[in-house]
Parts: sequence; C-alpha cells; structure tokens
Amino acid sequence: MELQTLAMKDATIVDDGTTERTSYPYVTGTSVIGMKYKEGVIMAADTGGSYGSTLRYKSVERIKPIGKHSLLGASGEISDFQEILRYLDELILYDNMWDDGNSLGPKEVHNYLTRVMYNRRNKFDPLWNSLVLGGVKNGQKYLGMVSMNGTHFEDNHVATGFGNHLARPILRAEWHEDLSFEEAVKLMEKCLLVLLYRDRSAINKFQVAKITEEGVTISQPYALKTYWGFSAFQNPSKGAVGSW
Amino acid sequence: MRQRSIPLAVVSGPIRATNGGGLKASDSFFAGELWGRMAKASVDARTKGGFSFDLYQRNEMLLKKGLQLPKFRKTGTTIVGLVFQDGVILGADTRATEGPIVADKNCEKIHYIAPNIYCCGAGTAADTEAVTDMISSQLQLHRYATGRESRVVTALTLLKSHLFGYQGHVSAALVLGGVDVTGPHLHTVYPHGSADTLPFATMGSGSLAAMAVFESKFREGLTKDEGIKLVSEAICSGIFNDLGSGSNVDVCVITKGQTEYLRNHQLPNPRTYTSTRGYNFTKGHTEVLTTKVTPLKSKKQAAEVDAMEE
Repeated sequence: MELQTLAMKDATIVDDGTTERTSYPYVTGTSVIGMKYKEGVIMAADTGGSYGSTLRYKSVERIKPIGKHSLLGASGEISDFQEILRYLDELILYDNMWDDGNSLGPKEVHNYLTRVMYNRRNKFDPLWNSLVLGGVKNGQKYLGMVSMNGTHFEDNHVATGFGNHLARPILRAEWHEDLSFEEAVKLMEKCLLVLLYRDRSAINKFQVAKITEEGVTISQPYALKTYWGFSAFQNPSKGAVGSW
Repeated sequence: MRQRSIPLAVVSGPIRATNGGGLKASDSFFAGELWGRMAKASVDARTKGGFSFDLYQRNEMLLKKGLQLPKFRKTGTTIVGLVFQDGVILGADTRATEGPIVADKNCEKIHYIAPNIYCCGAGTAADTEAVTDMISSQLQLHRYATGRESRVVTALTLLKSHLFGYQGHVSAALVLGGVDVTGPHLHTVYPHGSADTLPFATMGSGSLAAMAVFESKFREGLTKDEGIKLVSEAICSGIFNDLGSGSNVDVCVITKGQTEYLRNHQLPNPRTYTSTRGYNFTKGHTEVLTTKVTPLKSKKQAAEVDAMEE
C-alpha cells in the first residue's frame, strides 16, 4: 500500500456535505526578500504576525532551514506556513531514512513545494502563502519563489507581497553578480528600510538569514535606524500659518 | 454639470458657501439636492457648483440592466517631486493609457499653474487637465487683483476645495510644487481633497517604484544636478518597473525667479530598429502600371423653382 503522506489528504469534508476550505487568511506575515550573493543566498523578513489590522505577534520566525541545503521564507497565513513546515519535515525525514548519502537540494524542495501549492489550489483549498526558497548545493546557488496558486520561478533576487513593488525596483537597479556578504546585507537593509517606511504591516524587527555551502545562519532579530528629521515634517504649514 | 466658481473670490467649496451653518461633511453628498432647493428659495447670486445627483436612480437602474459606461483615459503614471536646496524639482513619465492600450506615447503631465508653480497630474487625464487649467486661470485673475506673485498655498487651497466638493469623483491626484516669497513648497493633493506637505513625494501607479528610490537616496540640501539625477532615477524606476508608466522622462526645475521646463529630459526608450534610409519616399519609388483618369461629374442643375412667397 502506498504511504499516504500528510500532503495527500483531502480537504476536510464534514458530515453534512460541506467542505472546509481556506477563503481568506487570518494571521499574516508581510514581505520576504531574497537575493543571491557570492557565497550563497541571503534572505530577510521581519518578525511580525498581523491579525487583520492588529499587530498580534511580534516574534514570528518566518525563515526556517530545510534539510542541509535550503532556507524557506514565507509570507501570508502563518498557520499554513507551519503546516508546510510539517510537510517538509516529513519529506526530509523520509529522504534521510533512505540513508543513501544523498540529500534533497533546494531545487528538489522547490519543486515539491510547487506541486503541493498547485494541487491545493486545484482543490480550491489553497495554502495562503508566498514562499521563497533559497539554497546552495554542490556549489550551485538556487533562489526561487512559489505563490499560493502554484506560480513558480527562479531568479537572482525575489520578493513577496509589498516587496515586489518596493524592493524589486531597487534590486533590479542595484543587484549585480558576486556581491560580498557585507554589500548584500547593505542592499538588503536598504530594501527593508523602504518596506518599513511604506508597508503598514511591517515592523522594525528583522531577521537576516544566509545559507552557504557550509550551512545556515539565521541572525538574531535586530532593528534598523529610521530618519524622521526632514524640515517639512517639523512644520508643514510653515508657508501659511493657520492653513490646514 | 452646473457652472464653476466665479474667479474674483478665493473660492471655497460652493456647496459649503450656500449651505450656511449646521450641515456636516457627510451631508455634502446630498448637498446637491438640498442646495438645489435652497438656491431656488434664496436670492443668492453666487454661482452653483458640485454634481447634481438627480439622475442617480436612473443611472443605477441602467447599470443593473447591463449598460457599459465608457472607459476613462487614465494616465497610469509615475509623478514625483522633491525639494532641493534652491527650490523644487518635479518629474513625470509620458505614457497615457486607455485600459491596456497606450493612448499617447508622449503626453505632458507637468501642467502650468503659474510662472512659479507647476503641477504634475495622475489619474483621469481629462480631470487633471481641466482642474489645473481652471486653477491656473483663477490664479491669474487673482494676480491681477492683488498685484503680487501667486503663492503655492493659494493653488493648494483652490485645488483642495474644488476636489473635496466633488467628493472624489474628479479623479485627479496631483503633485503641486513651486517657489514663492515664503520659500519652496511641495504638496500632494488626493482626489478626495486631502493634501500633504512633504520633502519628497510620488503619486500614480508607479509611485511605489519611485518611492523606493526616494526613500533610499533622498537627503535634504541636494544640489540642482543631484536633484535632477535623483528625480530622473525615480521616474525611470517607475517607467521600467510599472506597466502603467513608460516612454520618456519630463523634468521641471523651479527656483526663485526662474523655471526650467525640461521636456523629454531623458529618452530611455528609443525605437529599437529604424531605417537608416529614412521614411520619406520620393516620387518614382513605386512603379506605375496603369493610369486611369475619371473626371468628376459636374453637379446636377438645380430644378427650376419659383421665387419664395413673401
């Protein structure tokens, strides 16, 4: 009998014939940005989980290591992200049980995620996430993205959510091959700062993760310095006292 | 649509003017109706303004029956402005779209308001043109009446009041900038009538791409060349990352006493392939196979008619 994995279960069917399916997200994470650099892939996300317009959770880790060679970052519904981590745990476990000296690389994990997302969407029960998958295996860097309807692609730099509108233009103009780690972090922080200013669901608490041939490092959460000292902000009605 | 405001007074929403005290902002939606009745009752010589909502029910009924409203021509746009050490620099792309089609590849989105005040417009092209032209005329008459250079806050107040009165139906999102006696000013005006005073601003569909550039690179006290470069970079970011913006970069530099309108300051989207021989074909390029000349028939003679009865 085929081993039925978690991912293959049907959408929950309740006795009276109705089906429970995801229609809208509840607790959401905002953008994730990823880019390739000289030694591997760097990814960053803030640690906020919003419940509608409330900032409900301020320490949500949205970037996790997968196996030996990959990093997964997710935006969107946090519970669906946690479910995906369970599927991937199972996947990596079965892979390790083969004990054949081979391990799943980022390309394989990306493909698996694409299949899971696409099949869920075809059942009208999507996992409400935009996933960023980055990794290095045998010297090959890999960075890809999967959205909640199964659209997937690979690129030198990716972003989810608001990051597409605010961070991608900066990355398109300033990313180049073989960035050093410091340059990559600087570029990443530039994008994160713009997102902090202009995305209402962003918070000033970021984690930056990097993956190289040696392994994964996820930084401790830290804050960026913001600037509010523009003279126009100090006195907006300077030109006409009493106007609005 | 009813008449617009009279020029000599600095206009605030005509609706408010005739309402007297007591009516809340939320009532202005119906103010057209109420106002209509009041105007008939009063001996008010002031001209009318705002929309008349008399046909609202009929329009809703038609929409339910499946009537297709005509599409607006929008300026899916990137417009920006920033304050530098000597004044204000405005920038805009030059693409006007009608749904998915580019209607105008090289339109002008930086509108003249006064010799020292210019305004970029995003949203419905007709609305931005009409509103800026109107405020420009009002300001000129105001200049004649006062004998002084126009101030940016005057244009701002006129625009805000007008747009608020139309409750967002005039879809004009503007970046207004200029230099007057009180110094350089930069404002954004939204279709519903609110305004902000900012050191740097972007509006339109490409505003996020342009804002990403500004937020990472702007600082106070830029020189003119640095400012023009930053504005061009922001507009290019909009042109290349937003589908609603494209073609060329227009820049307008306003300083005390002088305005430079740099139309098509950058042309980053040239035609990829052009014929080196040009596109003028002189006579003789096409071989003539046959010639047939048909004289135009002369007009038929009018029938003999009697003279008209007195």
